[in-house]
Amino acid sequence: MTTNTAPGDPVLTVKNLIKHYSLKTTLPGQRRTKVPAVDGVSFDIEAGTTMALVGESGCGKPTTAKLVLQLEQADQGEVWLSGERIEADARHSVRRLRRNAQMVFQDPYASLTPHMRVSAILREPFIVHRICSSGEIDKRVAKVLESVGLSGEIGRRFPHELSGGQRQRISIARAIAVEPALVICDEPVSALDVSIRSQIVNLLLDLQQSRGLAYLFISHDLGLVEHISDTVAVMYLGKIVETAPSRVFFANPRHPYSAALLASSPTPDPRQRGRPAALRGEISNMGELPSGCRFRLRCPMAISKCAEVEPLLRPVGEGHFAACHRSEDMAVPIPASGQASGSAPPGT
Amino acid sequence: MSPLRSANAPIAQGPILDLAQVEVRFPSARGTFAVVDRVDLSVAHGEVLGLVGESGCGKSMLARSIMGLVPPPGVTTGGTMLFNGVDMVGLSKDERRRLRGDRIAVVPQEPMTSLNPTLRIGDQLTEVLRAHRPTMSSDERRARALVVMEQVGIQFAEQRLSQYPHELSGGIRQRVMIAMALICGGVELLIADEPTTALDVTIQAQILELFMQLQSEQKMAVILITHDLAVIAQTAHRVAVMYAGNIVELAPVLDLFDVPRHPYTRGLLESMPRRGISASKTHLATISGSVPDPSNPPAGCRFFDRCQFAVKGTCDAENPALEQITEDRWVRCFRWRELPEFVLADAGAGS
Repeated sequence: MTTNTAPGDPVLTVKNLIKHYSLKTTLPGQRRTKVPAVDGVSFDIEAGTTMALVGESGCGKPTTAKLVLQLEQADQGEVWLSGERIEADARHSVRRLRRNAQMVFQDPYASLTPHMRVSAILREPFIVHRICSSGEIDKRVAKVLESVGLSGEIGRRFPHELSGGQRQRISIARAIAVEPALVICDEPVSALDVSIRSQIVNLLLDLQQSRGLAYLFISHDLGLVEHISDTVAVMYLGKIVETAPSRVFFANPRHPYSAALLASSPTPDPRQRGRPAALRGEISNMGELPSGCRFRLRCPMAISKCAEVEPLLRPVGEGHFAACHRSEDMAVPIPASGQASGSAPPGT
Repeated sequence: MSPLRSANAPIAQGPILDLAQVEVRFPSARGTFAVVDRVDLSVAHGEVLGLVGESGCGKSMLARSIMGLVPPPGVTTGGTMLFNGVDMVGLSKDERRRLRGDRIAVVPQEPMTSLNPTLRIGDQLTEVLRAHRPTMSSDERRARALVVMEQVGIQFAEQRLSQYPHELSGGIRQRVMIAMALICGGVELLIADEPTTALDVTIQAQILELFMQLQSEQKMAVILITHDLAVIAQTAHRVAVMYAGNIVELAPVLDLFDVPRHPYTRGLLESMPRRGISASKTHLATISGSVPDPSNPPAGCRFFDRCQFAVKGTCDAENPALEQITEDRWVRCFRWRELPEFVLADAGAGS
């Protein structure tokens, strides 16, 4: 199996991915409402880089991951991995995808089979993908355990005998065993204790560097995202509303929703408190989207045009795209301790 | 900035809650072991006390012990718990129940699993009043429910009363839980156990803001339990750090973040990625190893195995006592005087 990508070429390219779910109806004759869970999402991830996908729950982050891995069938759109288009109905194509793209899940307590020993869990990928002869498997398992910082002795144990951090290391070992080009990490540290998180983050960074892995990193922890990502894409109700190089994004977000997310994430500094909550209301129901911009009902900057014309993702800077009519009004560097623009302090 | 949001608010009057040597034990194959190990802690009137620690450190069990709700086979085996001067350990089950939900209330982590999915919101809210205010008529209860729902910022309160929990979003459900805690109108101590952990950051910001607003309006004391130091930094007046059943550090919030004294607190603060400060894609500081097994704690300091400052012969010989080092600071470490100055990596380069 050869991959035909040159360095610098994207490992993953997603073009105009669309997935609509229809809501189950309770009454006969009631019209089915379509929910645009993922609505025209496109992005690239290059080898050795990390793209973080951020946004509130219900915005379509996990659905996007599932569509990339063909765990859900997209209604429309293309997924290209290592220069090859994935054909959802061709088994060989999907099998190659499964080897080339792996996933690390949020909850290491739920994602490891409880009745299998660690060694058996880690043997599976080698068997399924016929990577090496059966005599060689044990050696490969020991090697992959070593690369995630665990001793071979742990192979005899069951998942329940391990700590949360060890389990997440096993999940990562299982993901990298098949030497994928892309690893999708869905909140990989948010179920872990604070003192363990940084160990796992460091491990992910090391593996990326030594193996040139591309990460699609789904997270709500913006402090962590700033630390580990090269690019950031913000999703809101099924659409990417802003994407930019990480440094640019955190210095000057150009979509009001991004700015609100940044202002909402709490700072570990007791001297910077008393900021009012940046956003009123909650993410609206996908079944009943407003006209025009999907964010306008919560947006502190909305104008009449926002109700009439849906803003499309457009370039606002070097590698920086935003879907907002008023991006230009936000082109001022926001200081790290800055107030959320436009929202008045409540009840003062 | 409203005064309640200032970090070190003055603390009025004496403590509302005063714990001394509180211990919670669970049975094991080799006898019993302490999950909460002789905790001394007091909470002042109108104070927000942050209780931080990792899972299994005993913070939630301590909260349950204060509520009188330690799940069997666990038992609160020792110590005194003075609530407004009355020792709650000696109270009967009935007397405990009368306090709970009325003067001491709790806001749990998971609003989904804490609400009964088969009962309407209105019934669940007024149930508290049926128990604690039996003389109220059902119209009065309903009126009171509407008032409290408005207080916690629930719109369309009238309609919400007849809805079921699954019809509400996570943020509204958590507001309902807060309304339930406040509905009797006499809460003096509110225990919030990871109240925003299950919520999105945008909703978390709203709920924390609501908490702080209610806290100052109603002058209640709050124990805020969380693993998230950023949430603590945004809300607490004082902070207690727990590790393996012990309180290892207790300090006013600014002091704790500026000059953490315990190696564990230092480790936690160092290992957090910080917006605009930590250099991207570099290694984060770590605390090696993992939390000791509570049924078999080490003989010496419980943090010994993971501590970069530990000294053999001293630190592993016995568990250090919680030592008072200034008027309002305590630390459980033999070596706190000798530790190097606490400096966050790259802290100066961030601006």
